[in-house]
Amino acid sequence: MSINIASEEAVAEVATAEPGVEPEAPDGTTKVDRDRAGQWRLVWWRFRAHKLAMVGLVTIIVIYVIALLAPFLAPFSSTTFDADYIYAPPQRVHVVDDDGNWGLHALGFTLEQDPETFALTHTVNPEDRIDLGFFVRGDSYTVVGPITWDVHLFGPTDPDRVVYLMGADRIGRDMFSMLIHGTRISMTIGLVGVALAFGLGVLLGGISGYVGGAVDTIIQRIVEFFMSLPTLPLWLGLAAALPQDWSSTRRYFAITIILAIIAWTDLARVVRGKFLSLRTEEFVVSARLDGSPGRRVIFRHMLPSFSSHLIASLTLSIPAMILAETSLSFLGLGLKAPTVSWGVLLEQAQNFRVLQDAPWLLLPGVAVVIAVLALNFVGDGLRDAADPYRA
Amino acid sequence: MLTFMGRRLLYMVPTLFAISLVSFLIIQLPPGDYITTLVAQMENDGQSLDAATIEALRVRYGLDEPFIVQYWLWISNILFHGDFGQSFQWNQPVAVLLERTLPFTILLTFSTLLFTWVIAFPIGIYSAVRQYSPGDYLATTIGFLGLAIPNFLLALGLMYVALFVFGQSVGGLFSPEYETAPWSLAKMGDLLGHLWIPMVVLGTAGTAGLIRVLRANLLDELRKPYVVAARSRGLSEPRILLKYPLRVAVNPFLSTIGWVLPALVSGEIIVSQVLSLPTTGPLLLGALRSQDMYLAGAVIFIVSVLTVVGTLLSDILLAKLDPRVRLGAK
Amino acid sequence: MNRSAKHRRKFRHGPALRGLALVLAAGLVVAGCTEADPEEGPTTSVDLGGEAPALAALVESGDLPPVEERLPAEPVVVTPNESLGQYGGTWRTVTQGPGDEVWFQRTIGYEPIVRWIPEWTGAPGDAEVIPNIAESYDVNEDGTVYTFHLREGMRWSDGEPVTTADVQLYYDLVSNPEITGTVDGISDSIVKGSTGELAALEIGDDYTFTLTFPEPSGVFLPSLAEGTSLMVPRHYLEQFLPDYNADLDALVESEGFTTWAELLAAKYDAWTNPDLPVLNPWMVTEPLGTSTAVVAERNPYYWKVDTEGNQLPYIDTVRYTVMNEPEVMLAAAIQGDIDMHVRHFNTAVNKPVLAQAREEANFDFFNLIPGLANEMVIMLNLTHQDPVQREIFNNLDFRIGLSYAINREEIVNTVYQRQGTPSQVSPQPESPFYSEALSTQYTEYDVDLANEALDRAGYSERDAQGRRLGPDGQPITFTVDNPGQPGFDDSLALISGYWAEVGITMTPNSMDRSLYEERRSANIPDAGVWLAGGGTDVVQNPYWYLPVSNRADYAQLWATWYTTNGAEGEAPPEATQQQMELYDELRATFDPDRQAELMTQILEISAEQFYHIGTVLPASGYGIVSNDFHNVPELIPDSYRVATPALTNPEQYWMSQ
Repeated sequence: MSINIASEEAVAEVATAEPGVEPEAPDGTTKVDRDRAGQWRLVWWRFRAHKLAMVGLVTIIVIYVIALLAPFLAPFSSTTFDADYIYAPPQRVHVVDDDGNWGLHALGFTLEQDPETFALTHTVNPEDRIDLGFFVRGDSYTVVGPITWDVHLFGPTDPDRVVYLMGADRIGRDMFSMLIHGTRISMTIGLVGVALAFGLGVLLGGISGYVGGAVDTIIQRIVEFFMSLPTLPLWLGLAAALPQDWSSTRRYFAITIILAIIAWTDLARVVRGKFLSLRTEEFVVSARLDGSPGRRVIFRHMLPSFSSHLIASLTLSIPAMILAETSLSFLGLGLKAPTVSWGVLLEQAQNFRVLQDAPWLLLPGVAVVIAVLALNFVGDGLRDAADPYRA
Repeated sequence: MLTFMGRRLLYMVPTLFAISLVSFLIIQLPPGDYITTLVAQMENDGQSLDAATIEALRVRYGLDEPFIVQYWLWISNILFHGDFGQSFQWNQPVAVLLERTLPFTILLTFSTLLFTWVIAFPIGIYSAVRQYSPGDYLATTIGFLGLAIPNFLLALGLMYVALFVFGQSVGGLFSPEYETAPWSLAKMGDLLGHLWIPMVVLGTAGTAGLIRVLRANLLDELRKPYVVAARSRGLSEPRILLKYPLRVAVNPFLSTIGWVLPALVSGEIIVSQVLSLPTTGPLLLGALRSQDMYLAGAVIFIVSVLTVVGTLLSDILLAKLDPRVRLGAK
Repeated sequence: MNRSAKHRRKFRHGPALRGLALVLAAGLVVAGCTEADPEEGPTTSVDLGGEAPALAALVESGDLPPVEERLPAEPVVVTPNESLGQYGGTWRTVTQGPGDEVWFQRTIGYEPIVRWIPEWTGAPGDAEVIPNIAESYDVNEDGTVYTFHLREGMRWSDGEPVTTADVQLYYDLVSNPEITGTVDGISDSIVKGSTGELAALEIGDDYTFTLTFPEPSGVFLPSLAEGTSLMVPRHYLEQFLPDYNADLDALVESEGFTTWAELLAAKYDAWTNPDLPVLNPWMVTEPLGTSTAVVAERNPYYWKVDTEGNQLPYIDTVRYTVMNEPEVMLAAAIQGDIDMHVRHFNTAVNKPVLAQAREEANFDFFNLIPGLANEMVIMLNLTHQDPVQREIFNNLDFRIGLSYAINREEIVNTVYQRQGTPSQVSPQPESPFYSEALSTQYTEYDVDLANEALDRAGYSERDAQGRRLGPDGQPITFTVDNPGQPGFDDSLALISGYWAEVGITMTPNSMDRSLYEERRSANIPDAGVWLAGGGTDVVQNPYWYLPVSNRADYAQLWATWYTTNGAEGEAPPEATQQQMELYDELRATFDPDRQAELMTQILEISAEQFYHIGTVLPASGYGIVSNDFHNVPELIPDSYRVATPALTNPEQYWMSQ
């Protein structure tokens, strides 16, 4: 749980905030259309110029495609295991075998255990050839509703064999498949909480800052109250108080929402502070004197002037949710097996045995880092692109 | 200014009351109580208690009373006697335990804050002034990496490095020979030698976040007309930067100093747990896990109160720095 | 001046006498060290001078009486495991702090009135019990009258004599309803006979007392040997008791407590109160809760000697560093910062890591005879509130079918690091009660046999998804409460899959430990899993073989029926009642051979009844010990009933200087 956990918002809001600006324009319809297109094109042009942001965007798209097609892309289901492959290192894919025969294949392992130290050694067995192929049949999975399928992009041609490109975990499951399956939950579950916190924060912070007076006082007391409570004990308490018969995904979803309800306060404070200081700026005062309605002043004049700050906060908060999930799983409060998420996978990686004998179990950590980096770059690019002061 | 402060102080009262109630409630949320934990613990070691003993224990710890009575006993003792009660699992007054751990927590928190600011400020300013330079990209990437690595993984990784690369003893804040030794220069040195891992781990994410926000705020300010005007008048760049934009860009930090504390405590719990530090975090985690309610309640309550005070201070600072806020609040 | 400061620093860094340097004047340490220096290597013939050098120095300065006056007339003579030792050293170990007090008890706190022999196997009766605090004890033929003779001249760690007055006060305390059971260490359960009446205490003279039970007690001596001294330091505790201190209320108030019971609980805690006089080889000087370590120094009045008459313990200091996480402890072990340890991190998963580090960190392994009867036992709730579930679970063929359906070999290979044997809940092969039939029945993995048994049970009908239908025509599904011990998650996930193969739907339900406790004591769960005790401590832990304690999660109501003498709960089936009668007889039988006979009969019925489904019998465990740390046996029985490793006499461990 990083320091930034309090700022959870969704990038998606950026898209909705911008068009909200346009329809208010007093000019004729055609100009509005042109303006809107122009604005978007401008943003896109500027965004494209930001190379890291483009790399981030492509990465994020790839990750979500993986999440969408997970059961097809993963060679195995998340429950497939092989007792002879516990802590097995990654296997190499060969194209030609020693006899010069072509064909995609990998070599099996022979497992031995030292009777005194319990150390495991996996030796490559050149006799044990596992043929690999594309679009092979394997574990069946649900596509949509009752429709199931059992074709996988890649895997051993014999459905009873296994091949582990990124090694195996403590009970002999495929890290590569687990990583792909974990993408689904890790990349989606935080978004709801983030969106919720963003909406609440901007709305209540805006009201507080714009209206002021008694409303401001009450909202500020509520904000102060929520912010004063350390989140972790609250998590511990709430996690334990949720009904036991809920599935772990549902539980986490519930906790995510609860956390968002607490987390909106951070953003609300920032928004309020901005509103307070902007209220007396000339452009706001003149807009008000011109007779613009309050809503218009807020959305047309005030919000856009610090949307960059909002985007910067957003950028930091989706990843914060992803990290929160991993941290909570570490404390045993987040998701639990059999649910597969990167956090759950990392939970089994935090010991010296893994660091020493099976460092590939840390790969979900790499996945987290990549996803968080990519999201941050995209957010950063968006921030710069939507910057109203930029010439 | 005085009325502003007076009003703020008055507002604290209902907030504090709500906080005390919730701190106490949080511990009651999970099923069971300290006795359940005790039974479970004893069972792990092969001992068992009969039902009558369990009931007697509940009476002894006052756990058979309704929630409101327990709350009243707790809060009235704090208010009227300054007594935070006894920790069940430590068999010691809560105050004694806090006296021992709080200094370390404060030390860790402040050194982390210092670390964060010292690193984040120059990098953040550089990033904003030299936007899209290689240095900016480097700082951005490193900053984001810092944000992206989960705290506990960083802690474990650094621990592994310290252990196998430097051969340093890990865990705790002292080497064994200094644990029970009186304070001395050597002991201070030993402490600093151990402090860097939790400081780096705790500070990394904060630093990265700070760099990002500072850069964003500063970029906003730097493009404002007054900066352009200043520049056209031939003011030197550092002067332009330091005179106004930086001061405005720093605003959001000031408004957040107050609540850095609960965030650090939450973060500190995990890191200190991983590294076995003698701070309040693991004490709180242990108390929450075993439902040692007076200890857990006291820690949550104190941290929350400190936060409220911190928020107040940061508001006053903000009002001092930016008169618009003060006027607006009237 | 300069020189002595230099000396002091040097000693603080050295492993030897580190703790002493902190409590004693620097000059004393120098003296102590120079005396220890010539004794390089594991010498057996060197005259140690009868006491530790630091104590000898105190005697010389007049701060301590001579060793002859400190020892009882007849001190306990401890035969060293391998060799006579040398004085000095700090035994470095770790603790998790509160909640982990057991580790103190198992290292420096095991001094009961009678004790186990170090080669304990779990034989019934007093076959493996020897005198400890008591110089000797007599028991009448039927086991109702127990007379103990204390050691003349034996002293508490503050030098006050140990007499029967200390026993009398202990008895007064445990029979005081205000505190018995609620102050840690004060409980009447040991001196209560099977009828619930306290044994009558009769004080003979200063060194003799007698306990008389209304009926024969077959388990009294073994339960004493688990760690009860039957005495408290009267001279110290009197000030905290209303009968002896008229100003107690003021004291309670000034110490910050509300009742005298609270004050007593805080003072009668050897790990947090360094002032409490003890009989242990080391006494706590740096208590739990004041710093990041707990330190215990040698007790100058310790009442045991080696075979040459040298006062024990050999080791000066025991230091427990407080660490929250087992992983950090493991790191410390890898670093060579732990001299001897058998808790927290000695898992099969960690063994390769420790094995790789042992050469560099200069330690090695010793083995443990496991005390568990099973790594994970699945307990279907035989007294389920729901009549349908109850009918299904009580069907013996149903349980047999489920047992056959489990691939235990695969569980061993995946979950338990290939260590352990497929087995039902069963005594370990080392135990006198081991029975291959009980251990291996229904353990082979055979889906056909499983289906056959389930069909025989009457659940051959299946629905469209292949799920077997119960007596109510609904598919058989149930959840298993999982309190989350290591390995449970993985094992249950596998078992859920195996059972799905034979048409039974089982959902593991992982939960917090305290919720598990709440649910099981309210008889809510369909089923639960736990580590089964009673692998070696068969007689002491019988509730895995028959429901006679509320720990028997497989039949809570039957256990309640037994513990309340039929007032509450539900009457169990005939065979179980017969077991309970046998157990009652066992408790009232003093003769170890007869006890063994009765226990064997109980186990036979248990095998027939097949109450619960076992998975894996654990293989031998291990501990780590530094190569400079001596006299730790190669093989130690591991059980919480015997205070592992304290039953092997830690006072005779010694460290190369």
